[in-house]
Amino acid sequence: MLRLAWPWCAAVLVFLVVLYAGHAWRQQQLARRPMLPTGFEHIDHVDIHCADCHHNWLDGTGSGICYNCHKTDAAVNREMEAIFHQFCRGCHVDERAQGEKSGPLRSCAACHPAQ
Amino acid sequence: MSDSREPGRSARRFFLFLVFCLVSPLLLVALAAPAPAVGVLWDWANAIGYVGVALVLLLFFYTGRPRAFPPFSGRFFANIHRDLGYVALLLVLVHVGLLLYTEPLLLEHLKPSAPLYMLAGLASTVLFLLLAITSITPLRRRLWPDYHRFRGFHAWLSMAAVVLLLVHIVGSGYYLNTGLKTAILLLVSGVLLGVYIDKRHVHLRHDRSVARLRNTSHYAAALAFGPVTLVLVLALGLACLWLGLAP
Repeated sequence: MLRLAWPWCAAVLVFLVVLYAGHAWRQQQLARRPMLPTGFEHIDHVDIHCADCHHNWLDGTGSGICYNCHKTDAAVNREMEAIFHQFCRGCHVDERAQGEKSGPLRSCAACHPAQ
Repeated sequence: MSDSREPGRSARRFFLFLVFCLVSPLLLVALAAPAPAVGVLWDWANAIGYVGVALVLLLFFYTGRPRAFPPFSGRFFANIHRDLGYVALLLVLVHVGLLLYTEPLLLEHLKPSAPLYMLAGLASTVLFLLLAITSITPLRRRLWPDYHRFRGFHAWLSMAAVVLLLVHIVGSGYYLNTGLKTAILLLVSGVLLGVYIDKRHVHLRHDRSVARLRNTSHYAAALAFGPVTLVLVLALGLACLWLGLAP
């Protein structure tokens, strides 16, 4: 029985080690990843309350533009892409679902134009 | 189940059954508060992905072993499993290729820094490729002289691929935009996988109660490709209509 089980145990162990190493490597990649250029126009977003995006004005978590913290702060920079995608696209999708014109829903190039 | 001795009639009924199965995920995402249209190619590429999911799940029902419906020869079921599998793989690759063609920046989502649900989609695509390649008979015989060992590998790897596929669909979440839709997909997938595991381990007996029609294995290719082509043309029309109705 033990002779039959050990290859499976070894395989599971190797799988877990690879998974852990992959996770650690991915975390490094996330922190080092260069930012894609983003085309953002304030004029297109004047209907939205300033503090909806610039939350730091209210909660005192930083100053300057979004990327100052979201790219440099190790506590949040790994989630930067997920946070911004959820925030921007979520708002666009809600507007479009209400029958209004909105910003891009999924078009990468519409927000990230080639330099 | 075999209400007719005419193969053509059973083939037509099976064709309609497949069309229903393939349309089901599209109905799931299109009904009840559908997500807004993005663009014809984008929406169609995702419709192709959803049809691919339906095919993948069907493979756990038509596993290559004879079933009561359609009352065709045993060889037909082996062929239909193989052909549906190839079509499913083709759809997965077209889904990826068409999205990359539409939005080349999506390549960023295939890198290690991509969101986990995208890495899950990539991993499941690799597993589907591996499943298809290792199933090619000469290679399979070389790798697994014992057929039962191949079946075990194929079954467990397929289930892993489906779990990763579900992580990808639920994680990307754009079309599956309500909890109910997500729950329905997970429930259907869970039931199919559960029944499959149960059948595999509990009773593998051949169903001999069905009077099978001989020389029907050649229907498999047409019945694998035909319904998929029809549903994809319908999906393209739906994507155009959806975008036309958008503000």
